[in-house]
Amino acid sequence: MDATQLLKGVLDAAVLAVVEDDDGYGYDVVRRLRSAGLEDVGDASVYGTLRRLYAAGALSSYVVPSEEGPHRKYYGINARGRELLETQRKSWRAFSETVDHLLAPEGAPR
Amino acid sequence: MSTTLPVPTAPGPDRGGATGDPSLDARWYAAAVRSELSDLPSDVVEELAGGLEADLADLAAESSTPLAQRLGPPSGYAAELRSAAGLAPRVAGGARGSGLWARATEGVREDVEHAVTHLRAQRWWPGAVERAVLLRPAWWALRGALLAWLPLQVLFGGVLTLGAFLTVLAAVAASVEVGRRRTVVPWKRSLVVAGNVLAVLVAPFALLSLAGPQTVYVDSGYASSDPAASTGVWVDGRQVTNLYPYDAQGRPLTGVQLLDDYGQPVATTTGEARDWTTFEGPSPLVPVVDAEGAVRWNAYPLQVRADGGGAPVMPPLPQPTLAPLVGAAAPVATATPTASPTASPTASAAPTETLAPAPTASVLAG
Repeated sequence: MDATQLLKGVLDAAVLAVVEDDDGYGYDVVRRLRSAGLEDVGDASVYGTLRRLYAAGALSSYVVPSEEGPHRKYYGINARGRELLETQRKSWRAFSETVDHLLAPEGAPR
Repeated sequence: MSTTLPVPTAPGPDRGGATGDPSLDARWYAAAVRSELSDLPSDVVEELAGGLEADLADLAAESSTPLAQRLGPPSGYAAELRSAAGLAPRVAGGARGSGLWARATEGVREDVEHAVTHLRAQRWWPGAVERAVLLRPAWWALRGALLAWLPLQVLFGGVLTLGAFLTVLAAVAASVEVGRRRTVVPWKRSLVVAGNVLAVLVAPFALLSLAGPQTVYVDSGYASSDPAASTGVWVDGRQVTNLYPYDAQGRPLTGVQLLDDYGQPVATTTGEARDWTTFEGPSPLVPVVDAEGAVRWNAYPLQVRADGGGAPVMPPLPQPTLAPLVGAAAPVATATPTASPTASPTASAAPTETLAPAPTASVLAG
């Protein structure tokens, strides 16, 4: 099964979860997702998702000037984002339970 | 939103290492991605690609593998960014227009992109780019000089006056300033690109004009384009004004009359100022008069009259004597101080049997 296709559906939730406790800039978020096990996540997909969540009002953003090199754009979760994350957590749980049940070998006790 | 302000991560240890400048690689890649998004409004582009340079610089600092190899071509990256951000994919031709031209250039653009992506995947590429960037200010200066040279050449024929010099200096300064301020405004960028292309096209001509001094041009012009002025004797592209004959023993001769293979006298000059390119005014060379009263310009060496007039004198010899020829016949020209009736012992080969003796014909003491 193509994991990247699965990933697309949950990337919003995953990104929100990763910045829930600590703000992060683009590549920082990518690293956190990868170290959490989502190794195939694409850089651009994460950046695009951050931008979209920001545009949707689920993230706030601020720029940190850097003494050497370009400025960093940090993203942090806001109240709207927390709401969204909570909704997505619930729907993911329901969805994954359903799919687990569906995919479980026949006759196996669940 | 969390209130803790994270400390920016320090760049990797291999930043700017032997394999090239990762931040440079990141800047290039980010710029390429931005250009892929150029059909979007600028605030949307900023929203999508803002901070991209920093993120890419971090990624680049992690490994020496060029970004294009790890992330794929910028066009793919931009497409992924777009789709993840919930934007429609770029329409083929998009902002470039959907006409025939746009469709024709699209293929070329993609080819170039693939070639560039392939190049960037090479190990030597970052180093080469780094060096090229170091040389960039030199190109800015050269570009300014070349772009100033073109109108000066066209309008004034490239004569180096103080005004021309100052114009070139001003153009160099302006060009460097333009190079320093990297513009993002599309039409200004197009202008800069056009300037660069023009400078590259002009460069070989400017180089040629520097390499070929004007005198060469004048010389060849005289020799070929004006037959009237091409009389005289030319050796190696220079006009010869006098000839110095030596006999078989290597001793200098005087009064040697020369004819060419058409039987015409070989005259370096006919006394007109026009023939005498080295001097202004009448020629200082003096012809001799033969026994029949004819003026002979082909008896060498021609004598020279000093500035204030007076009796003509022998010009100084280029060499006092030459080495005798091997197997030379017995001295013939030494027979008498006044020339013998035959000018040469092999009279049969001469174009004219004999010539009238010139009064000054003699052999100088060797």
